[in-house]
Amino acid sequence: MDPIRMARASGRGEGLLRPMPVAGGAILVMVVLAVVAFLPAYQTELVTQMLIYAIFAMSLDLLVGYTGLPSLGHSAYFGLAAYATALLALKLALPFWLAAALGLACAVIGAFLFNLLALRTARAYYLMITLALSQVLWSLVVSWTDVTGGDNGLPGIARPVLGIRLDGAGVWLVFVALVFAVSTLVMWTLVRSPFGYALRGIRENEERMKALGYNVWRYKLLVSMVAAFFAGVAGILFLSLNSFVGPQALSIALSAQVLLMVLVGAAGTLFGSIFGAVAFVLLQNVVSSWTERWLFVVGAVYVLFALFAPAGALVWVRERLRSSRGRSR
Amino acid sequence: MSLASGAPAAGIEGCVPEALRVDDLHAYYGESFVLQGVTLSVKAGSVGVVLGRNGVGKTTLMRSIMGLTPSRRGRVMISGCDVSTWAAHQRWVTGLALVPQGRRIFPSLTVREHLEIGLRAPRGQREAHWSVEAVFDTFPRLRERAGNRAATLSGGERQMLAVGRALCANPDLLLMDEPTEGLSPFIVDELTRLIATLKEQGVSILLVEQNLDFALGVADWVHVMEKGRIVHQCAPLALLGDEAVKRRYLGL
Repeated sequence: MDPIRMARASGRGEGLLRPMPVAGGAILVMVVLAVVAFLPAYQTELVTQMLIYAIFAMSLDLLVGYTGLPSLGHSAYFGLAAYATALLALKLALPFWLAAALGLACAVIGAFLFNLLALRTARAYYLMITLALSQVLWSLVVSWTDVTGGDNGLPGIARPVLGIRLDGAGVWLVFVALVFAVSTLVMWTLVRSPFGYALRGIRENEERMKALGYNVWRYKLLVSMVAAFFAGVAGILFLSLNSFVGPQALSIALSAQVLLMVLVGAAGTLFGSIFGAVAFVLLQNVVSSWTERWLFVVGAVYVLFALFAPAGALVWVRERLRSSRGRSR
Repeated sequence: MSLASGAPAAGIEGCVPEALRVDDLHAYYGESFVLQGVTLSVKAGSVGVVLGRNGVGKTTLMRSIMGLTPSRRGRVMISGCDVSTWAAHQRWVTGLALVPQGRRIFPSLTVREHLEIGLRAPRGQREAHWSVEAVFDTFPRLRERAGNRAATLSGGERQMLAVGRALCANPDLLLMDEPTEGLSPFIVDELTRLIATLKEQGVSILLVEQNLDFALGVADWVHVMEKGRIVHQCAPLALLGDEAVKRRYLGL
């Protein structure tokens, strides 16, 4: 057997994923450089948005794909971190980085408290209770106009300074790409560690994991907090991208969108979520420039996925590759 | 985590301590009584076998000992330590491990990941007999498939994996729920040899079985179960000659 065939055989079914970190890093660097060098500010911001949504979607994939916790309230942590950071920076005039750190802490603590309740349930009930809890935050933000600005949101948060000012679209993209790369690497390492195996074990047979001596509840709580942390990272980047945060950041719509990104890309693969986020931003922006009825097109795309690639794009591609490889032999 | 209630007690009956003692255990599923006062014990380093027809509560007994099915009454003592009120995930500290019925494996985890998930250091002064490599030495077939997802394994390989996963916990007391179900005679022989090895290492075993030849071949003591109770116990040889018990409770 030649080495390439052997490598393929040992990689079985993960051939598409295994060289990902190296190849992915190289692609990221090239894309970012190309975008910064050649594209105007608007497109640069679109790419920035893709990366931010990708972090957000991957964080949800930790719950949905790896642990089997279907959360429909993931925008809670995105919005909580963004609002907390904005409020601390605006009302208490804290420096941005300190406000951001405290904002992340808020998201993690929020996840801890919410999941004390939510983890009493499973499956569809988990979905309902996460939805309800995120709606509590949303209605709080909408109604507490004195503090949160209600529907008008909180404008006027300056982009942070990191040695140089991160003002320009290009510089900001490079910074976001850096955060994206680090976040991806951390989550990727996490799901490939024994902690990650345990999460997949919980998804597939909770009882068996208990019999093996795993405190399933504690694992779920911990992964929820990790997921909230990265959702918070995405939320704060989004806040800085727009210099603004509004109730949309805590909406069901956003929770549903990010869940669709995960499912369309392929839940439980992490990289599928990146694809999902890229596809979502492209659809939303490119299609909306062609037609007013862009939501119709987006809906149709989701229906097509549900019918023909229910396991997600990445799994679909992987299966096509495998079957064509099988035929060529 | 430490043992909550004291060190293993010395033997109560005779001088051999008990690895497992189940006292008057009751358990329900919904409204139906599945265990109606099971009492049995397994002496340290011995193999106890529970025989009985389908649906008499054998699997529920295993699940109750493991803490997966809550018991309504009665006591489970492991090495003299009362674990009745402990959650399932806490019971492993007493050295308890289970090979579940029907090879409940995790489809998307690879063989090696399964074994790593199960790894535990042995308790007290005991020697660490089992590691991922030791399991591979016992089941060479698993080494060949170390990087494969469990979903792609055959029935026999899955059973080896389920057993290997439990062994990685370096158990003192191993519960096995119908390990020979659907296995080829060749693999059943391998299991027989493995159980002998485990006994030499001082592991106590409680085995639920339908395969009478296999069960009587490895057993030190036989418990016959009927309608949620232990109705008969004897040495394996005594059961072989007891046609009345075999006909009445085992349908043979």
